[in-house]
Amino acid sequence: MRAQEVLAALKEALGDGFRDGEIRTRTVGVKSPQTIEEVWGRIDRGVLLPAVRALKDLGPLHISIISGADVGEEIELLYHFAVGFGTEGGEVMVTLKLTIPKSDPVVPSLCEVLPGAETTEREKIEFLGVRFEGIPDSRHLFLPEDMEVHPWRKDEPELAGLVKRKVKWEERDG
Amino acid sequence: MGELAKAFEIPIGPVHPALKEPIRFTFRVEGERIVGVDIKPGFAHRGIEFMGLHRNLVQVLYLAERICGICSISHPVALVQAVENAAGIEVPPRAQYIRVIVAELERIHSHLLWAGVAAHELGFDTLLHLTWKVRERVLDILEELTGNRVNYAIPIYGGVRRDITPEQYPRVQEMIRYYRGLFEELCDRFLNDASVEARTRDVGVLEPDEAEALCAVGPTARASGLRKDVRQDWPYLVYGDLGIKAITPEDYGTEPRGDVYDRIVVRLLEVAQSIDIIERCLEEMPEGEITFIPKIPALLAQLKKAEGEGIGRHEAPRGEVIHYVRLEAGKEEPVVWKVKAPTYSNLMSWYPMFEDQEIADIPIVAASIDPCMCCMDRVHLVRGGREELVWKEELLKLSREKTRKMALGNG
Amino acid sequence: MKLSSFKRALWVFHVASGSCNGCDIEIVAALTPRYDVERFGIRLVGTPRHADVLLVTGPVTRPMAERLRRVYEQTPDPKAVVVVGGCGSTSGVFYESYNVVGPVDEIIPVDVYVPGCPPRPEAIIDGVVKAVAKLEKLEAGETV
Repeated sequence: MRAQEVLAALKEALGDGFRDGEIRTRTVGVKSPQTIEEVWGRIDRGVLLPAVRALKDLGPLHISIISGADVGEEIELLYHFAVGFGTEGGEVMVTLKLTIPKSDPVVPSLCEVLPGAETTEREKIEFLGVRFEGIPDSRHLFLPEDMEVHPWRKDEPELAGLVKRKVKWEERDG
Repeated sequence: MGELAKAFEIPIGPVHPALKEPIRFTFRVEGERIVGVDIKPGFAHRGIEFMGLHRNLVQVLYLAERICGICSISHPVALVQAVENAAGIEVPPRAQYIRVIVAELERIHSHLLWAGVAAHELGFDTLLHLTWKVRERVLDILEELTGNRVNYAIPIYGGVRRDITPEQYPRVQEMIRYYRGLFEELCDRFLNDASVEARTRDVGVLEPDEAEALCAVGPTARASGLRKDVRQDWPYLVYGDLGIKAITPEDYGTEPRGDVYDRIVVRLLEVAQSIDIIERCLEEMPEGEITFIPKIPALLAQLKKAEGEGIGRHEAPRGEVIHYVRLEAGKEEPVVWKVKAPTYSNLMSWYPMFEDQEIADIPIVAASIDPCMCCMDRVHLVRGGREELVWKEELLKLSREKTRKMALGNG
Repeated sequence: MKLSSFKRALWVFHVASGSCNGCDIEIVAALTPRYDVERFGIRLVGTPRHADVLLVTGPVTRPMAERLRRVYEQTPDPKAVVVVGGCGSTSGVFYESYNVVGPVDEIIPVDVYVPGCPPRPEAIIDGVVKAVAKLEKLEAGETV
């Protein structure tokens, strides 16, 4: 499968919901160099499920991970998929970015289309405070159930209290 | 009898003598049958990604290496690729070959380690000692090439830290001959042994469609017949040149059944595959530089200027590792760093595997995906649990009694 | 040290308190034929209640701190605690995290430190041997 096909399929399925679509290429190998193509793009949360369905129609779909970051007033989620997982030399990495406001951190869950996404979605619940609509199990996975702090958020004043400092530079300097 | 008397809950973990790592399982059992399982990881969570966001990239590399002591090259290889892709750094050809050689040596040591642990879980300690004895040979070579038995510190952004010198070649080749000579015996000991077969055939089955839906990776997926291997599907380093094919039980001449036995088959065949890869790399490896920028301060200065994002992937012994890194100009630390270890993907596949198994099969089924909690738990805390200490030993005893009973039945 | 130190078999319990697996694997390696600690009567047991020595690896994560304390309390006296690895001894690279509360000596009393990342199996055996000496002194009523 080529990255072009993936990009075209996403554009067709999502229309205006898919923006900044690009193909990033680089060459790997020494004796017989090959070109590796990656698809990157930005989507709205409303078209997340259609996007995943469109990718799934292209071949065996694997979700590698959902990365996330706190970018000020918003949370950015990056869905890393491997489309055509298990086809020799034919796997395309697709990264779909979407931003959600901190005031309303809700995205649809992928579990209905891709049950394997549950682990990574549960991780985002505890670490970024994102809510997934339709996730079968939303308990904390790695952090305790009563831990309210989301370690990857930058607006968590309580987090500093949990961090154990070896050297208290502030006191030393003062 | 009321409902209450029918189903029991057995908590196991987080302190397990056999797995060596903390995780908690809660099994619901009816008699000897498992009807449900709940898994709670997170005991080894050290918050590595969080720490990484407050350190410079070279320090992050040390952290990445200590995500897991068994995959201590898999995580750095994925991380350096992610950073190289983000910063547009070229890696000299020789360095790419050296990375592949060390990564494959690690696969040999990891698979042999697993095979030994699996034998131990079955109560076959002689086999544990045999496999771990032969495993020492690859550790000797790793120590020779990198200076340490574990945590090799080989990859650096844009290259590797140590070259393989001409006098080391014969020693590596000798190791290759040693394992080739031993391979048949090892396969015979594991795969033609009646008690191993009785305990692992049709135990902990993962159907191919389940493996695909649950996004299983590595030998766990391949044992179910899915030809998924990052080295084959998404060429990186020199793996594209080597023409690697994913291994499934079909290569052993049997139909994949996705059980524990098949997972042993896949891992043993991959040891042979890794030996071939190392031999070819030694032959093909060109002379030349091994780093892009040899001096660390210059490298850090270059990385500080870099801006961009990148993905690095690697097929670790247990499956796909992926790192995502985002760099911003003027910052020494990564702005975003996300790590995914193979067990993270394979966690979900435990649910169908445990379904309808016997309590005595818990240790071998749990071990069969080659779980690595420390990898998975990088980011993670748990509470509660009172009754969790002594169970595992009891369980191991049960597992061993089952082997004994089966052996008596057969013989 | 004289071999008379090994007048009885020493049973060891291993606790991983959030380690990276490197030390844990080296502990197992110490049991297998090349290093073979069982020739000294040292063996790994499955419960702290049978143990003379605790081998602790890892920087101690927040959830494991409580459990480590309980394992320590369950180990009968006289007991010795050996910390295996750099991160258990000093926290090592795992500093300044919200989930690391170690090093081990801030949670339970430690007798012997084995530094290294990871220490070689020989070093781990040496650590246990030093712990034996300490146990014997304690048994004889000497202070250490």
